[in-house]
Amino acid sequence: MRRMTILWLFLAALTGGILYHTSQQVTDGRQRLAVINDDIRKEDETIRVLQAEWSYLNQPDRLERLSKQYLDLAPLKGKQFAKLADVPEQPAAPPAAAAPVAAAAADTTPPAPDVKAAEKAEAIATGMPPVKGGAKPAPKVAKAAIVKIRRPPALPAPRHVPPVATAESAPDRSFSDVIRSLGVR
Amino acid sequence: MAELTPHDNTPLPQAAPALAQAKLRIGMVAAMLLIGYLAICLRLVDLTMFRTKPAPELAKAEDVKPLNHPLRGAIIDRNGELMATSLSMPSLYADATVTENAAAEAHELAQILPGQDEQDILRKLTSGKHFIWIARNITPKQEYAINALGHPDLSFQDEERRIYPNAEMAAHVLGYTDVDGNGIAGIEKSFNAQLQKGDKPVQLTIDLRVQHILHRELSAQVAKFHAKAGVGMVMDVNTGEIIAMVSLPDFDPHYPGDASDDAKFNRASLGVFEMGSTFKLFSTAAALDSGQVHFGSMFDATDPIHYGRFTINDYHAKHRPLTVPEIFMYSSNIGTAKMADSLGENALKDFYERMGFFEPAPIELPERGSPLYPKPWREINTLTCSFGHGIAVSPVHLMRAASALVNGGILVTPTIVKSDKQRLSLNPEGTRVVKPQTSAEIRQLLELVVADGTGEKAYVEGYNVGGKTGTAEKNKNGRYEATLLLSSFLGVFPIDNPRYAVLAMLDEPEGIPESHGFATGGWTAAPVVAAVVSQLGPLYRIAPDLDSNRDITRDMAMYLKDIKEGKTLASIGADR
Repeated sequence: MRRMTILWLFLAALTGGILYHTSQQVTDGRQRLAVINDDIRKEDETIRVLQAEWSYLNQPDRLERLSKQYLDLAPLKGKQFAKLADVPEQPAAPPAAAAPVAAAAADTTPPAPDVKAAEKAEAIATGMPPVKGGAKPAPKVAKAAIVKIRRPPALPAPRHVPPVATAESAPDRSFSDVIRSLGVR
Repeated sequence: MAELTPHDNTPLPQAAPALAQAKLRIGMVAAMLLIGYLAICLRLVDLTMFRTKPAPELAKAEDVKPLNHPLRGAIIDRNGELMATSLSMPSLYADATVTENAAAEAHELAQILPGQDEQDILRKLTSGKHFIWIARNITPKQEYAINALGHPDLSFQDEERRIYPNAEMAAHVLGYTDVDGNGIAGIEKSFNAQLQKGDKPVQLTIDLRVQHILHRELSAQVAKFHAKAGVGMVMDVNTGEIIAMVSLPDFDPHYPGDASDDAKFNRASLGVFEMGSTFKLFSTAAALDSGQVHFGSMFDATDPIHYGRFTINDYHAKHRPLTVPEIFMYSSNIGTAKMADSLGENALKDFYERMGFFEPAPIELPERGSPLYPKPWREINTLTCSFGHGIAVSPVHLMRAASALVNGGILVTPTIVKSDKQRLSLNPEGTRVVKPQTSAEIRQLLELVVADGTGEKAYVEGYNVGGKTGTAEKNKNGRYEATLLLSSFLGVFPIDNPRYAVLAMLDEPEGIPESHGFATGGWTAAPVVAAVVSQLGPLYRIAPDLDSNRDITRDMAMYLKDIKEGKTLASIGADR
C-alpha cells in the first residue's frame, strides 16, 4: 500500500513536471511565433513599399523619358520584323577559310549611310533565332570578324551622351517625395 | 490498473459493513477515475494517430491569425505589374485636453508639416477635444521629428493609404476608395470584398503598356483637336478581354475629392452615346446575315428619304443607286436606311437585341451604362437606328458587338478581370450571333474603308487594319447640332485574322488647319487607332504582312463603280 502511494506520488510529480515543461514550451513557442508573425508583417509592409516604389520607378512614361534621354533605341516598328526564310544561310566554312568568309560578309554588308538596311540587318542578327539544321555555325574567329565589321555601320552616332551631372539634376521626383505629397493634404 | 482496485468485485463481508461501504465508495471513485483516464487515453490515441491532418490546421487557426486586419489587397495588370496597393503610414492626432502651449506647438508642427496651415493646427489644438486628427499619412521622417518635439498631447496611429503608382493612367478602371479604405468606384468597388481580405491580388486583363500607349495617343489627339472628352479602348476580339480602357478627362485616384464629377465619369463603360456611322457595321451585318442582301444588292441613294417630319440625307451624296460595299465605304445614310428597311419589320430591332444593345453590358465595373433605345420601336426607328441615331449604347457595347462581327460571329462576354471564375462559368464559349460568312464579309468591308474609303488615316504599314469611321451629330436639347460632333473610329487588326479591336472616340473635336477644318472620325480618331496599332503590333510580336500584294479594292472592284472608272474617294473629311 505504502509502495503504491509512493509510486503514485512519483507518477503524479512526473506528469506534473512533464506538463509544466510542455506548457512552458508552448508559451515560449507562442512568444516566438508572435515575434515571427510581427517580423513577417513588417517584412510584408516593407515588400509592399518596395513594390510600390518599384512600380513607381517603372512608370511607362518615366521609362519612356529616360529611354529617350539615355538610350539610342526606338520602339520596334512592324517593318523591322524579318522572316526566318529571309535570313541568308550561313556558309559552313572550315576554320581555315575563316578570313575569306569574313571578307565576303563585309562585302555584302550595306554601306554606312543606308541606315534602313542596317536596321534590318541588325534586327535579323539580334531578333531572330539562329538558323537550325544543315548549316553548321561558323567558327568563332569568323563570327567575331563579321561582328567587328558590321558594327560600325549599324550604330549611328549617339544623339545624346548623358553626362553624369545631368543624371543627378534630372527633374525626377523620388518616391518619398510622392509619398510625402500624398500625406499632407 | 485493474489490480489497483481489487475490491470491485469481491462480495461485502458481513462483519464490517461500514468498512465495506467505504471500500465500495473508494472503488466507485477509482472506477470513475479509471473511466476518465481511459477516455483521455482514447482521445489521445484518436487525436495523435487518426487525425494527423486537421490538427495542424486547428493549431494554425488558433495562433497564426494576424494581429490586426490585413492591408487592402493589391490590383495588378495582366503581366503582374502593380496598379494599386496599400501602405501603412502613421497619422498624427492630438488630445487637445492636455495641450499646454498651443500656439508654440502649432508653430513647431507647421514647420514639420509643410502644406498644413498653422492657424488650422492651432484651431485644432485649442478645440478642447479628446481626439482630433492633425495630419493623416505622414512620412516616417516627419513622425520622427514630431516625436522628437516631445509633446505629451500628440500621438500616432498607423493608417492605411491606398497608392496608385501610375496615378491617373487607369483611374476609371481602378476606381478609388474612401478614407476608411472602402472601394466606392471601379474595380475597387466591385471587388471590395476580395480586396479587403487582402490575401490575393486582383488581376486585371489590362496591359499597363498598352494602357499607356492608348492614354498617350488619345490625350495628344484630344488636346490637338481641343476636344471636350475622349474614349479609347482595346479589346481582344476572341476572348472579350479589355486590354486597355481610357476615359478622358481623367483624375488622380489619390484625390477623388478634388476631381469634378465630369472627370470621374467613366465614359467608356457608363457613358452611352449615339454612335453614328460605326453602327452601320451592325445594320449591314444584319442585312448580310439575313441572306436577303448581298454585296451586289443595289439601294437607291439618289434622293433623300422623307419620313414624316424627318429627312435622311447623305453627307457625301452620290445621287445614284449604290451597292452594299459602296454604301459602307461612302457611309451612305440613305442606302443604309433603305437596306435596313428592306429586311422587314423588327428585323433590325431583333438583331440589335441579339447584339446585346438593349441591356447593360456585362462587365465587372459597377459603372455600367444602360442603353437608350426607342420604346416602342416604330418604322422610323429602323431607319435612323440603322446609321446609329436614336439609339445610344456604351463604348463597351460597341466593342463587344464589333468583336463578334469580326471574330467569326461569336458574341463574347466583355471582361476586365483575369481571374474572374464566376464570369467564366457564365458563358465561356460565347453565343453565335452571325454566320462565319457574314463575319468574313464584314471584314472585307472594314478593310475597304481603310484601303480606299473614309478611314485611310488608320492605315498602318504591315498591319492590315480594317475599320469604320463614325461622326455623329450630338443631340442638344432635342436638336441635332451640325457643329457638335462625336467623332470615332473603330479599328480591327490584323483584318484577315482579327486579334484586337481598337476604338478611339473624341467628343466635340474642333477642326484645325491641319485637318482643313474637319473634325470627323476619319481625321480625328483614325490617327489614334493607327498610332496604337503600330505600337501594339510589335509589342505583341504580331508578325507584319509586308510583302503580300493584297488589294481589297481590286478584289471588290466589281461592286465599286467609281473605282472601276479609275477614280478614288479623295474626300476623307466628308464622312459622317
